[in-house]
Amino acid sequence: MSYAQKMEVIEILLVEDNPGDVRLTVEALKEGKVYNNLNVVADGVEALAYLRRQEQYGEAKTPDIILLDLNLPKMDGREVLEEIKEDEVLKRIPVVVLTTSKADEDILRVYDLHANCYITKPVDLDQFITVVKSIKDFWFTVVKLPKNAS
Amino acid sequence: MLFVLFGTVPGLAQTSESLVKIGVLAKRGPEKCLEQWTPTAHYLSSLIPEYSFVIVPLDFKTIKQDVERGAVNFVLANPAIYIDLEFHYGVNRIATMVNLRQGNPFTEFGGVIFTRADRADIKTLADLAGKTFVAVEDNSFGGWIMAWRELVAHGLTPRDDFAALNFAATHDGVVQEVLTGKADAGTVRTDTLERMAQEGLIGLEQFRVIDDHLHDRMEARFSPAFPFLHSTRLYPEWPFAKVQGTSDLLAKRVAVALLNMPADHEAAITAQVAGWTTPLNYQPVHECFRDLEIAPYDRHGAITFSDHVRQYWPVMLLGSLITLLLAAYTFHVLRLNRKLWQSREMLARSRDKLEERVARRTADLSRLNEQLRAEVAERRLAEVESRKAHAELDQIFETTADGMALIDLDCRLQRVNSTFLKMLGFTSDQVVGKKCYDVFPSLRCNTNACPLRQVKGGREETIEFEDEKKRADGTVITCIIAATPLRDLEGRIIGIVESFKDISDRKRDELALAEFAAELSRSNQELQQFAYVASHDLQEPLRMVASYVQLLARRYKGKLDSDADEFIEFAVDGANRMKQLIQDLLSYSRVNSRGKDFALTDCEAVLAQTLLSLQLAIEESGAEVTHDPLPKVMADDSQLGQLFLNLVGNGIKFRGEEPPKVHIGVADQGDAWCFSVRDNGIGIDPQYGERIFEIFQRLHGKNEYSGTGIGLAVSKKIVSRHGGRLWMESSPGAGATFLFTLPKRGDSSHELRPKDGSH
Repeated sequence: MSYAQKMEVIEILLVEDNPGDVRLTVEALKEGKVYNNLNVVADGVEALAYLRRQEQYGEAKTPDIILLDLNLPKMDGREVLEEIKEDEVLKRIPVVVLTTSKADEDILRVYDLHANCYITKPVDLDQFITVVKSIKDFWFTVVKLPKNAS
Repeated sequence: MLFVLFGTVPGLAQTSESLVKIGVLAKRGPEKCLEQWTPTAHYLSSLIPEYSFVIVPLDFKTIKQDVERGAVNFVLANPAIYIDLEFHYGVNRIATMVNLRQGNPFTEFGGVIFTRADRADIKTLADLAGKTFVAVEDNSFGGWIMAWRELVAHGLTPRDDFAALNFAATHDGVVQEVLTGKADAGTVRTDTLERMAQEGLIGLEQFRVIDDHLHDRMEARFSPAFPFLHSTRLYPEWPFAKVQGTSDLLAKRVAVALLNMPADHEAAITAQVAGWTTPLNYQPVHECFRDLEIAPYDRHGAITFSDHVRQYWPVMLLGSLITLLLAAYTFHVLRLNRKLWQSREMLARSRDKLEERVARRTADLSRLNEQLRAEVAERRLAEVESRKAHAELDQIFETTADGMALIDLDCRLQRVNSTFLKMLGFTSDQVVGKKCYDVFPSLRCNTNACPLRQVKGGREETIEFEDEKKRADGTVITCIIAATPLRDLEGRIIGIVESFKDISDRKRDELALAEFAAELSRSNQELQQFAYVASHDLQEPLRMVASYVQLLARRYKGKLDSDADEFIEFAVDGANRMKQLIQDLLSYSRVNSRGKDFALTDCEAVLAQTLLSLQLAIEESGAEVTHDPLPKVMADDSQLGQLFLNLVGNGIKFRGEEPPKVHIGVADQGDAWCFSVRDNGIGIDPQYGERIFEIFQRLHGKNEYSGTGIGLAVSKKIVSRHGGRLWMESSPGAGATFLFTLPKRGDSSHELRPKDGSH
């Protein structure tokens, strides 16, 4: 895999149960011209199964970045984040927490769990596109480098 | 026994003469006599109310006749007259006057023989021979008879040896006659001279008292304690005597009254006596009269016999032989007679002594009786008073608004009032005599909290507590009970008094109020929660609507028809406004639910931060923001910043034609700071003064001024969370001033807490 190829297609795991948000993220990635391979799972249990290549996710690729919604059925985002950060392999994957919650305690909690980024889902589409674009920048500048270094 | 005796007196009085006349020898004239003794009559009338006592002044000359014909019931006279009256008319002394002379009491008196001081020729009694002499009356004891005895004892026979013997009728008259020289010498009773000198009528230095003979004799009876000028032996003072025929009971009562007369009683003072004493021995008076052979000891027989001898001596001589024969026998008879007479005298003397003792004893008993009677009367009065006080206390006890119960040391209810019965729904029979823990048991019973147990344990002060009591009908009332130790007259604790105040209504109200407050607080909290959750969860679908409408606009603007573009625009605008409203609602609900604890906050720093946030708006509008030096206050710094942001932001936003000017002032109100944010903007009609603080209330169209109308509502909530008040003073066109207070709390000397840059 060449460096350039990797740059073009970002392997993304979106953990989101709301199809509206999934579609919106797809559209935003499209609008932001982020070349990606977006894989979507709808809850925390599935997310962990995907990451650990269990059951039907035996062929799954390790994502370059995880977009994690906090409010999920079965296992919520905070628990998923905890599991990821306790896993020696998975904890290297940068996690961007997407949430509508602006509550201070939610933000502090996810940072305590070593989320790499915390993004409040903006209501405005333009802002959302900006955010998605910033994920690309983030991936290049912050995330990619340590991954490379390892 | 004595009491019974007194009890019968009023009955007797009704049948006897109620007017009692006291004859008094008027030695200084009838007017003075009445003046001197009338208060004594009144005194007796007051003590013996069934009788009316009057004073009858009696003259030296007529006193015997007056007593003889029973014109008076009692007689007060000098001892000389008294023994005569005693001898002839059976008057009987019941008391002896205690004379008051120069402030001291005396029961004896005498006579004084005196001449003018310039009469160098009269120095001894013997010198009086051939002189003119004046005395008071021939029957005046102190004013003649006493002196007479001394004259006779010194060999003078007044009728023969004086050039003249006159009687001046009064003591004062005697003194006057000697002073004017009408008589060479005179005699009056002791203390007359001293009294007249005191009255300013004479000077003592004007007289010489002839008392030389006293120095030779020094008889024991001349009391050295007797301080008045005197020339004679001393005799007992005037006796108060009962006339024969006057009832013994009355006499006894008069005697008791006189003996009980206090020295400071008006009657005693006016009479110039120090009171009365038991009757003295008048034997010296009898001796005096016997010496002088005057009534009642005069010897009519002897004088008659010598007259007869002078007239009929020849016949007598003839008969003398026969008489001589009888002489021996006669002599024998006479001797027997004399012996008989002597023993009669002795008998009389011992009778006197006996009488004196009886009288003294009677007086003592009477005095005791009087005391008893006074005590009984006093006790009766006290009883009436006590009964009255008792009745008052009973009434207070019964009618007081508190239920009262007296509980003895055995826990037995001794007494309760009607309020208590009404309060607990019992009848008196169900309660009185029963144990308190049976009638109204409590959780305190049989524990150390039992007030009776505490009082028995030595507790002195009132024990107050709240307790629930079951009424007779089973309902329960809440009472405040105050228990106080109950003591007897000696101060020993005999139980407790419990007073009950029924506070059930108050308790119910309090409970209802507390429930209401809790309900309110709950509903408030629910409302907060609702606002938070609603605004939070509303964001999710709103985001969908807004985002997809925006996506529509982004992808298809200009690709559909113009209507579609316009529709999309309205939809986007609506979604945006909805987003703003929800965010505002969220921040409004967060003022209380997400507020931080108060800490010492430097308003200067907070304002500086706020102005930084407003920098763009300030630059755009050309606003000028000034402020007074601001204090440090106890506050939530984020909320204080938001408050400044809202108020200063409003001042800039609602601008008029002129560039905005906003000034933040502060005034010290003592216990609070009063901040003011004044602008020169469009102002607000005061009629909207309160409305502007309501959530989502706007006064202006959206086109004129942006905003959802949340700012002032949040501001008000912030100020009220800090315990202050926010209000507005303004008029349209003249700018607006927003004022808010922040109470001073905590210690303002604390260091400013380091602040976190993110706020």
